Amino acid sequence: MQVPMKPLLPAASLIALLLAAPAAHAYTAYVTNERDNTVSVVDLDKQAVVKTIPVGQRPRGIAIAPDGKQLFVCASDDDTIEIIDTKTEKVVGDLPSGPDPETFALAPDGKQLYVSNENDAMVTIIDVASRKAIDQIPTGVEPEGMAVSPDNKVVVNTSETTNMAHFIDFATKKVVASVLVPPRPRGAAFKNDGSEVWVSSELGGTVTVIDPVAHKVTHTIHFTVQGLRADAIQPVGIAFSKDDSLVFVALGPANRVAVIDTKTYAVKKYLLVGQRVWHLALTPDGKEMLTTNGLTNDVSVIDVADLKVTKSIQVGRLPWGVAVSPQ
Amino acid sequence: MRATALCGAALLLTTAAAQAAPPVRDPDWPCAQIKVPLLSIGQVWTGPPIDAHLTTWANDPVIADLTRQITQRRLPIADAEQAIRTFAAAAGTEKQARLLALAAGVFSTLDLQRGQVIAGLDRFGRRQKQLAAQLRDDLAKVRDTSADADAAAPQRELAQRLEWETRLFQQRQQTVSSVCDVPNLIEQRLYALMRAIQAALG
Repeated sequence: MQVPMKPLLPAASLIALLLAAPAAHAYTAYVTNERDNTVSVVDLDKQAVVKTIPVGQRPRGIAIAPDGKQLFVCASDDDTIEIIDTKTEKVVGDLPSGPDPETFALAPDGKQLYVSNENDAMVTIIDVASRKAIDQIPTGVEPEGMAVSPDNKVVVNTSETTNMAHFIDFATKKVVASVLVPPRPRGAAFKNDGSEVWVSSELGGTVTVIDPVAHKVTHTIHFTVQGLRADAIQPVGIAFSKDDSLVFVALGPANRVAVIDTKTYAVKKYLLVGQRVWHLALTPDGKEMLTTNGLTNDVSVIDVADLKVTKSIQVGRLPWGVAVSPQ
Repeated sequence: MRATALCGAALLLTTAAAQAAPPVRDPDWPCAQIKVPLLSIGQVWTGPPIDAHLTTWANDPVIADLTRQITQRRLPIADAEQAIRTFAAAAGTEKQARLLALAAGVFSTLDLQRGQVIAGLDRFGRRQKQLAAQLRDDLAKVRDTSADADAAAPQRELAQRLEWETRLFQQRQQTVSSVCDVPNLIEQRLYALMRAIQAALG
């Protein structure tokens, strides 16, 4: 006897189930709150802070390991870089950063961490596994921004007083070239394909594009925003879109993020975000760019395809840096 | 209202000079943040132009009074936002013009207030540098005369002065970070108020 097949779920239930299904991503963002001495854990689906982790004093630079298991946070006034276990959401150790670490770069494979030590004009290389400083490289006065090439062969360090981008060869641990840029260089970022390095100059109000092989400046990008004095435009954070077609530059007290076309080097759009925008991070799917806004105490979410600010998520006081989990 | 009118005129000039030279490092500036002496309307406003209202907003007593109330830091920001909504609802067909005048009043008032704080910080930075120079000089004098037995009395006096100067310098230095935060607090309030006015415009 044949029993008529019964649908497993009525159509209405199926639709309800589909609607209730989680969004495509469930990324977690981590934001350092410089004034609160905390890291906010932000669920990007819920668009809310789900946990606040107490950390050392004056947390600023932040990065996440490629496997997402560890988070590294500069506790500037404690002269250390703290390691947070992302599963337990607790500080589990620290790294010998040297005095007043502000920011650092993590090698693409997560094995080394490059820290700029502002007070002694050095770049310190730390081996993450052994938690030991393995080398120190003399660089320019007041080193600031750090970036590592995608192949982990070149480290770029900007120096605030000498106004230069120093290119360090990882194999020989030597500065192989120094390129002059406009005053107070802050951020540096490699294109995902490694073909260019972009350096922001906070006082110069510009972004310099450098050929990392020839060590030559190829383009200088200027910013003009209607109704804004030039001194309010202070470029700091730089982040590329996943396909390298766009660059997002945080313009500090201009309260805007400039979106630049990497083919034409022209600014496509200025997006109004929160107050005093400093740093940026892209979600792993490349769909959203997050910004930290120091005075409005929030994170703005930019839709990369539409180039629109879609959300503002309140975090702690004086948010500085942001990192997004790879999963 | 002369000061307000002058301030409005200065704002017009700074708006016109929006493409002025990029900032330079001020050696006397005591704060870690880069000095931005004047705000730009574009930092806090993306609505219709308010330039026409910068010199006239203070002539309307209702707008002048509301501006004075909501720019005071002791008024909770939620109450200020409610006051803006109530003002917008009462403005009827003149809502847009009156809200733009209010925006001009809020921007002028808080930019002026912030400018006064910046000027105070400039004075603070200069005085602190003078104190540091004085400390260095007195310290050198104490060292120079320490081996001279005849100079014992003047040296005691100098050492006492040095102690006072050091204490004063340190006390002032400890207040720098909180004093440097005042322009930020004003900017935060300005941003919140301008957003509330823009939201009321619809």
